[in-house]
Formats: sequence, C-alpha cells, structure tokens
Amino acid sequence: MEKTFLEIKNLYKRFKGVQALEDVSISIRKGELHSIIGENGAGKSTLIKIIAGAVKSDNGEIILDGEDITNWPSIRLFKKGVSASFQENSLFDNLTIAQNIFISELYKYNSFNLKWKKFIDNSKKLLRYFNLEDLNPLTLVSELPPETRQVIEILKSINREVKVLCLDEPTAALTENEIELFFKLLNDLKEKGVTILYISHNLTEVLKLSDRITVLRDGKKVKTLNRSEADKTVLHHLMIGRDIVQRKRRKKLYQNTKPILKVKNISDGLKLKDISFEVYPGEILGLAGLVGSGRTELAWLLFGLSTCKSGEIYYKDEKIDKLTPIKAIKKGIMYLPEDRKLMGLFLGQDLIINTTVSKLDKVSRNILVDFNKEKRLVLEILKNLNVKYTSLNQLVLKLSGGNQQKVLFGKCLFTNPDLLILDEPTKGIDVGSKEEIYELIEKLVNNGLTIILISSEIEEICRLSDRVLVMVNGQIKNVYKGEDINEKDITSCYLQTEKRE
Amino acid sequence: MKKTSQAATYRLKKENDILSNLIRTYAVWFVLLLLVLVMSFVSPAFFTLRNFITVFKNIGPLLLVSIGLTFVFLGGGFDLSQGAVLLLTSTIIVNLNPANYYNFVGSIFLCLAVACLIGLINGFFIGIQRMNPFITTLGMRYILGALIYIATSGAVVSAAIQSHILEALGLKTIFKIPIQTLIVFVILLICWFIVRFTVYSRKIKIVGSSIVVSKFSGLQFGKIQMSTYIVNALLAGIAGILVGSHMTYVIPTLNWNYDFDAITACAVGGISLSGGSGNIMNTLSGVLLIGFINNSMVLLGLQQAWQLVFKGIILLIAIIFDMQIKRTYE
Repeated sequence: MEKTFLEIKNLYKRFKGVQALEDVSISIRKGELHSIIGENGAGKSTLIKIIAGAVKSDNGEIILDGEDITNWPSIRLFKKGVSASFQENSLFDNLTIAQNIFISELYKYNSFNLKWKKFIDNSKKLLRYFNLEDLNPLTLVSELPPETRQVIEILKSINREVKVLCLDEPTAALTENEIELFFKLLNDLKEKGVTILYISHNLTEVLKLSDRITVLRDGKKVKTLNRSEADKTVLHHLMIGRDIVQRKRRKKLYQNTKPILKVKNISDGLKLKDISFEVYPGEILGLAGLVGSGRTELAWLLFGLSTCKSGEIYYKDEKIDKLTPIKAIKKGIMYLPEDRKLMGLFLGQDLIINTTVSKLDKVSRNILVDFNKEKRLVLEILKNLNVKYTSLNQLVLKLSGGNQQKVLFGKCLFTNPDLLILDEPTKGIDVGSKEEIYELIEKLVNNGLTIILISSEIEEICRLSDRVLVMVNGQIKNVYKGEDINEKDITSCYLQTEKRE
Repeated sequence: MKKTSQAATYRLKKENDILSNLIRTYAVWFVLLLLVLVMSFVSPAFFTLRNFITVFKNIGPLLLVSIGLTFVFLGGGFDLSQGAVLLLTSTIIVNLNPANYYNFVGSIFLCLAVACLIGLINGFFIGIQRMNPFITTLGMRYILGALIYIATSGAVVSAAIQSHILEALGLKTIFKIPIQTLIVFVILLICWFIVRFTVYSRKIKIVGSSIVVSKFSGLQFGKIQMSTYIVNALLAGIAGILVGSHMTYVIPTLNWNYDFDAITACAVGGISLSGGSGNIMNTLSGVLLIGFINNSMVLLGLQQAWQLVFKGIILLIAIIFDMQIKRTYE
C-alpha cells in the first residue's frame, strides 16, 4: 500500500503565455483514490492530459511501476493500462455507443474482423453499472442526452484492464442517481486494485471518496494531504491561498431609475422560453446557470445574432425588432463572445485591425482609413486597458490569453457601448489578468456603463453582480438582489432543479 | 537559470520571425532580380527595351485576372471561373467587332455588364447563400465554357472585317508603350490604392480572416464577400476585352489557363490562400515572375512543356512557404 506506483516528477508545461504546470511532483500509491483539486486554471486538467498522453510535457518525468512513460503516445499508454476520461467530451457523435466504448480496438489495424458482436455484449454489461441495460448499444451517441454521454465517456475509459484511471470532472454532467451508481463503480474498481486519479470541483465528493488529496494552485503543487487531515475549510484555504474577498457593494438603488433594457416574454422557439427581465442603467446583472441553460442563446438574441419567435424587447424605451449585430452596435449594444479565439478575435491580424473592426466609421474619412487617427485611438484604448504588447502591428495570436482578452475588451469598448454583454469574460486566463479584468469591469460600471455578465464561475458572478438571474433550461428560475447574493444559494438553485428532472 | 534560457529562446524565436518575415516579404523580388541578372548574361536579346515591353504586354491580361483573384483571396474565397469569363468577353468583343465609337462603347459596356452579372451570381451563391466557392465557380466555369462552345460551335471566331478601333486598342502604342499596357498599369494603380488605403479593403481582409468573428463583430460579411467576386469578374472581363482586341480572333478551346496561372501568381507572390492577408504588390511580383520565366524559356528555346514544369515547381515552393507561415500560427 505504501509503495509508490505512479510517480510524477518535476513536471513543467507552458501554454502560450501561461505556465500551466510548474515543478509538480506527486507520488501516487497503488490502489488509492487520489484526488487533485484546485481552482479553474490551476492545472488539474493539464496534469491529467499529460499523464494520459493527450498533451506533451515540456519537462519532467512520469514513472509507472518503475517504467518511464513520459510523453508516450496515448495508445501505448492505454495498452499499458493508463486510461482517462476528459472534461471535454471526446466521443464520436456519429458512431454508436458500442463503437465509442471500444474505439481503441480500432487501433488493431492488422486484424480485419473486429468482433463487434462481442463488443456489443460487453457494452451491455458495462451499461448495467449505470442501470442502463435498456439502452441499445447501437444507438448513435449524438442522440444521447449529456448525462448519458458522460456515462459513455466513463465506460470508455474502464473497458479494458485498467491500472491507472484518470477522471476529469466525471460527475459534472451526471444526475444524482447516476452519481451514486458511479461511486459504487469506483469502489468496485478500487477493490480490484485500480489506482484512480480524480479531479473535481466538488469538495464534498472529494472528501467522500479520496484516500489522499493533492491541491494545486496556479500550476504549482501546494500540498498533498491524507484524508484524515482534510476538511472543507482547510482545502478551501489551500485552493484559494487567500481569504475570500468580501465584495464592496455599491449603494445605489437601480430600481427607481428607468430600465435601459426591458425584455418581455421572449421565446426563441428552441431553447428560451418566456423570459422577462429588466436591466437598469449602471448595474451589473449577473446571468448564472449551467452550460447549456440558455444564457448564451439569450445574449445572442439581445445582440441580434438570432431572432425571437415571440415577445418584445425594449431598449431605451424604444421597441426593437429585426435586430442585427450591425444595428445593435449602432444603438450601443455590444457583445463580448465566450470563445475569443473562435468568435472574438482575428488571430492572424494585428492589434489595430482587431480593435477597430466593429466601428470602422470612427476611423474613416469618406472611403479611406485614417491610419493616424486609428493608431492614436488604438494606442489610447490599449493603454487604458494595460495591454502588454511589443508593437501595434503584432499579431494577436502572439499575445498571452489575458492580453488577448483585454484586446477583446478594447474591441468592445471601441464601439462606445451603453450596454455591454460579457459572455465568460475571464475564461482561460491566468489569475492576475482575471483580477485586472474584474477591476476593469467595476471601473466601467462606475463610469456609467451597463453590463450583463454571463459566467460559469459562481465566485465571479457573486463578486461583481448587483443582481443575479439564475437560468435553468431556458427559463429564469430566480432573481437574487443585493445581500441575498451568495454562492451557496445560487448554486443550489440551478443545480437542484436540474437534478430533480 | 531556467528563466534566462527561456528568455533567450524567446528572443531567438523572435529574431527568426523577423528574418523569415523579411525573406517572406521580398523573396519573390529577390528571385526575380536573380532571374533578370542571369538572363541578361545568358541571352543578349533579354535585357532590351523591346523584350521588356513584350513581357509587360504579355502579362497584362494575367495581371488583371490575378488582381481580381487577389480580391477574392483576401476575402477568403476562391474562383475558378475567371478564365471562362475572360474567354466569354473576348468572344463577345471579337464577334461584335465594333466599327465605330458608338458601337465600341456599347460593346465594351455589354462585355462589362455580362462579367458583372457572372460575378454577381457567383457572389450571391457563395457570399449570401454560403455555398462552397470551389464547386460554385467550377460549375460556373463549365456553364460558361459550354455556352461559348455552343455559340461558336467550337470554331475559331475572327473579326470578319478588321475594325480600326479594336485594332487600336489591341496594337497601338504611345511612345512605344502599348495602349493595353497603359490601361493595365492604370488599373493596377487604382487597385493598389484601393487595397492599401480604403475601408472597403479593410473589410474584405477582416471577412477573409474569419467569417465567424466578422459575424460577431457586426460586419455584413455576405455582401462584402459577394463584392469581391464582382470585382474579380469585372477585371477578368476587362482582361478578356484586351485579349480579344489584341488577337482579333478567339479560339474557344484556348485561353483556359488564365485562372490557374492567376492562382499560381497569387500563391507565389504571397497572397494567403486562406484569406485575410496580402497586397497588390505581392500579386505583381508573382505575375512578373511568371511572365519573366515564360519569356526566358522562349528566349532559351525550351519547349512549352518545360515552362509548365518550372511553373509547377515554383508553385510548390510557394505553397511550402505558405505552410510554414501557417505552422507558426499553431
């Protein structure tokens, strides 16, 4: 039991501009369930990806049972008994359940007759763990609900003789009932002597399951504890490394003023059902909810990227219909998309082009671009945002994540918006930049901007918002105001309702 | 210790970037200069005013087609139909064979209108309806080719009576410089100006960089992309008029290489085939290189097939360059 089975030695990994892992060493014993916890961006997922061979490390060693397995390709690791289920679903939508679970068999390219019949039977056996024996293994994965997909993802990683199983947030999409079955499965595996690396946000789960717990923060290992040493407060403290910042609430009563945006019973015929709310000038309205609860769809609708089937939107007392992004920007509504690389920035273009793209009128003289004016304005705006760059002609893709995000803010602010919709404004950036962006958001609001803040990070919502709308399944479930805003109530509001269904 | 070595690697990488950028920007001009130098020694007929005028005259239509294609490439599109447009307008102008100025202006107007219409159709299906540019323009190429074939029965079309005006446009010179070349030069300057300085070209480059991002940035990406196809077809139409007036006859089975030559010229010159970057000087360098290579081959007495071999090799080298640039993105 005391013998080290999987040893991680001085692991380093750097992604563009962000040090994801720095000198991480963990020794894991045979047959234990070892949890790895930390805040978003602490490097948990990266660590697991390196162990499972999905990402290559920059430096360091991983030793399994006396054998150096650093940077082996994942198929070789899989044969060795190391398998993983990742946070992002890695299933093939257009293949069946059985094909997905036994996808690794396809690597035996030298044998022509794969025994699909056997695989189908085995899939049935595996599905029984989750009381899903009614499910036909020949169903396409694309037809499954998210929680079942997660089940398939887990089964895929345990279908073979596993020695080391890495699980990245496996319970995030599962229902309560399935979580219980899953824990039973984990105990079964543990009895068989499987070593399990378990990543989760949920401290209750971690404390319930783990033998030992390692805490990561900002890519560095903080400490490894035995289960007996750990409790929630200790872990929380280790994870955050500081006490939770008590937010200073702005003392203003927004309800007495006229709303800047008024949404009445809108539905889009797909996701959103009968949504009504108001946004008051100068406030931050948080939109909380699970991924897929309709937050982004609502934002797209307000920015004119999609149309509503029924209902009315009033902006500054004026009824808006047939909104397009062009009209929205003209009226002073701007949207900061969640995926800056795919939707927000032209990675192959320079800072100037990226900043001014949404309001070229501001820097044009008749049909010509006024390059001097453009440069002046961009310099000014990037300086205000404290973006670090080498030259204005630098390509955006060469900036770090945090600086890219600031440029994206610059692009939005360049349009002089009155209402700014932020969709996951701090996704995938380091802690320092996060703080800067929080400060920026507060500064903007104090200068009179109105902000709708969409975020999956509940701390962020609670810290910044004046009011919080909680969305569940395309509907607004609850509204929290002022002193009522706290992480616990809001989380349980969107989680419990989700799980009852 | 660790940090300094990292910083050093970073600096090294940056210097490499600057160097590769420099090579990238001027590589074609260097090659061109080298070619001119070598040829001047090898062939006495090469470095003469006459030869240079011939080269510039020969590349005229290709330059126009390539500039048009540059617009399409900048906007993230692709076009295979310019060769057919060129052939169509040259067939029309030769067939009409305008004998007086009224007819001349009218027939030019007709040619340009037809070209615009074709660009509009291409642009509508690709820009607005979001159809695949390869397939759409390939379809257009087939349709136009077949229409020309039906109209001419595949036979050579030639002007029945020599029209002076057409001849003037095709063959007249001012101070030894052909009128054609002057026209091409003026269009080159205009297009260079547009791409360099206008809001319109900025929008094209933005749309070409990423349709999705331009959608989120509030741009009318469909209309902008459509306009590039119109510009392209218009320039191919003008090139067709020049070719027709110069030759005064049209062989319906010939002149099909213009679109592929234009693609080669753009790629060699450094226009990104995936959209969003490049300028008219890139295009010019690519066209000049192809023009001078063709010319050198003729002067050296090599077969035409060898010209194709060299063109192919140069294209492959250009693509390798392009790939390397893209790899640094990832």
